Amino acid sequence: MLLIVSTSDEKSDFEVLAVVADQLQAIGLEPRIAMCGAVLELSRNAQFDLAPFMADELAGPEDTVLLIGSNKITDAASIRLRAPLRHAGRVIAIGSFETIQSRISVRAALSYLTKSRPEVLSVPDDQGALPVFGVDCGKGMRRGSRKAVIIHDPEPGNPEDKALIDALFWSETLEPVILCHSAVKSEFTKNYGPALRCYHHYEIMPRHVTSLADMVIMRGEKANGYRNMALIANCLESGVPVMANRLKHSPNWIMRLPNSADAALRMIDRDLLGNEEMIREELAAVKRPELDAGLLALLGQTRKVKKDTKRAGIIYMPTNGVGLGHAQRCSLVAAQMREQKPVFAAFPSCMRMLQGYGFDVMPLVSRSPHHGQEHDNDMINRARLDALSADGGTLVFDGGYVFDSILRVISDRRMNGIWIRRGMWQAGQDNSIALDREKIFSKVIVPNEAFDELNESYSEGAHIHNIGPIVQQTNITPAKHTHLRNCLAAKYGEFDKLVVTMLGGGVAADRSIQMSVLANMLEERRGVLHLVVTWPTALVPPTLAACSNTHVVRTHHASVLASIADLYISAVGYNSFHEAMYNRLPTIFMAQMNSFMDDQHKRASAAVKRGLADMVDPEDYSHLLGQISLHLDSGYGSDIRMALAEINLPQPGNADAARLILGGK
Amino acid sequence: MSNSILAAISPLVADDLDTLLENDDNRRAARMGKAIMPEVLPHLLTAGYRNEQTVCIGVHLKEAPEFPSRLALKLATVSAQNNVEVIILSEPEYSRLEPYGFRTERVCGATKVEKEACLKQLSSFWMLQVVLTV
Repeated sequence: MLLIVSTSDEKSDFEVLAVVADQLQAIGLEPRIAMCGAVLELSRNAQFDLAPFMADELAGPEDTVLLIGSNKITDAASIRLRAPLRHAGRVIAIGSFETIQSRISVRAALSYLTKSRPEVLSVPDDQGALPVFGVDCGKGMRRGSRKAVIIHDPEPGNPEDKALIDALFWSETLEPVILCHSAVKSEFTKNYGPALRCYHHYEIMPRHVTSLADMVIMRGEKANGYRNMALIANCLESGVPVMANRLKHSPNWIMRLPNSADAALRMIDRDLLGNEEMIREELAAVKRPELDAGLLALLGQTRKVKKDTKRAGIIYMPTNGVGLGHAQRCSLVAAQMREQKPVFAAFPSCMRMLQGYGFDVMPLVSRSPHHGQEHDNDMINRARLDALSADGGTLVFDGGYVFDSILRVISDRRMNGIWIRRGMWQAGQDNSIALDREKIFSKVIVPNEAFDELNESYSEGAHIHNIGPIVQQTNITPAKHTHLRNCLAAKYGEFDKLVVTMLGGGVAADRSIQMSVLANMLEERRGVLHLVVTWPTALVPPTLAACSNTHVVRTHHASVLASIADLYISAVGYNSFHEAMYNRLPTIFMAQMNSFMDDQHKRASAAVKRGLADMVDPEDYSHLLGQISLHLDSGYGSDIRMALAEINLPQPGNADAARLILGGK
Repeated sequence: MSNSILAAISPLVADDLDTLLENDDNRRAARMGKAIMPEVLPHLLTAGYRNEQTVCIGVHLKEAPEFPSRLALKLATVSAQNNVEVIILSEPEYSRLEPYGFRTERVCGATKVEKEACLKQLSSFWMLQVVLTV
């Protein structure tokens, strides 16, 4: 183990350790950051940075300790560091040591703390006593053919910066990607919308910025701070040209950029585009600082990025929303690519279902109502996803809100991020964070709704792919239909009509009253079997037990049960709705509405106005009674089946989604 | 929390129809997938509980209970009498205590090291000082 230990317990010093660790990980080491019991009020971004590296272990005889800030070791730090350093096999003290005396002094101090003989690496003071070294970051996933130009630290009010961004924004060959301070990021996103990819410094590691970049333009006068220094060093190692026109004290391999936007674009067009190989050769010949070689030699590493030993496969991560729709949808797509052996990272309530479909699943941790930070669980998920994923793999996310864990793991692992994003967002929903985080995905796959008026566009670009509805189509033959009903009759007694009720998970709205009303309405009907489907983790409403022809059932295969029903009473989630349409189920919809959900009422209305389904408001019990009577007494269900058989529905998009995930266009 | 759990406890369980229906689900695979867990790190950055008075104890469940309502009653009683929150650390796919409102985390891993790391991570997340094994 390579344990990074800081002599400081200052928040800002800890924050930068994650960047050091990320750089070291790139050269094949497995760094850990010793927390040494530090209780820090770190920013949310810093916490997510640190999550995959934290360790509470002490260094052992096999371990190497990288002691950062050794020149600032104090008596208090000596006491704090005694335990982690005592048994370390090797200690490399990094700091700014201007004199022999200071080196001797720190070695003497460390000799009291560790049995090993400390080695010392001196770094210039203007590097903040931190080891700056570049790594070859390779090329990250690209969205299209435009070359990505990172604009580093532009100022929102500066007309030259604005002209440059505008020129690149409308260019057919170049695409601007903003890297700026968090305080000004909203100025750019407000003006350009999600079509402009915009990051602030603390949401992306220098290694990922470099892998995204075809070239970097630095607009500030300074590029100090470890993140910026690591970015510049990475660009040099990765053959990414860097240009600047205001930067002071820049190394001579950084190119001068003309002030005017037009001239800058002409220069890029003339000197850079199409000359990538030549630029790489020139940058490879630049003399590196001696320090780089010193640190890497001490660690026994070369700069060459080591290949991840883990399988760079496909990971699906569905949100566990109100129901299980995201996981269901992902499983339909994953079932189209079984030979690729995709795995899932999913919340515990979805695991059994996904395992039943043959997929390996890593559990995630749900949000906790007890924890003081609402993102505590997401840091666990970030660490778990990081451990599961490998550089260059694919992460397919299905959900409405892009968690920090998703953003971070795609970014830090340089994965190919793909977002399956169904629509029907409610008017008035604030989706600004979700749309801002669209930047991390190389593709956004939008499974359309069956009816055109329900399809809306939330963002545009070559990375958006609209496909047909992702839906499970059952294939129940008449013989199978009879067999399954006979089995139910054997279990529950003879019946003429089967009513299946599935009103959702109850997160958005408690439907126990509606279930009870339905059970009582159906109780007086002879020859009716009423099955209420609940999820295995849901409570069985005790009131239903008293009704003789209502039974509460649980199954991971509810769509099969719905397919043999005479009447299906359902919520209007994406999956339930499309299964009802494509499998021609006579359905009464009861919408679940909440501000964080899709617009179920609007979705159901589209089917109702075409005569393909009915809908009742959850509290309109007389209407519900009337609709049940219509379906069960007048043969109306058959009319709906016929209407559904006659309508032309779009081709399902399950296979198209799989093709896009596997690299198709 | 414990009162709402106590109010929800009932021996009623839903009928399991999976055996009847699974053969007609065209996504069903011949082989069940595994619950997997790479070796994970502990969670060392928690800011504590929203309410400083909160105390959680862990219950490490190695097998699903045959009579979940009985175990639920015992655990809810412990929770109510000691004013603690019970966190279920479940090795089986369902603890069968979820319907009553018990927070359930999955414990898995192909090796002893992976499983212990998973337990350690969950214990650090929930700040568990006491973990009972059932």
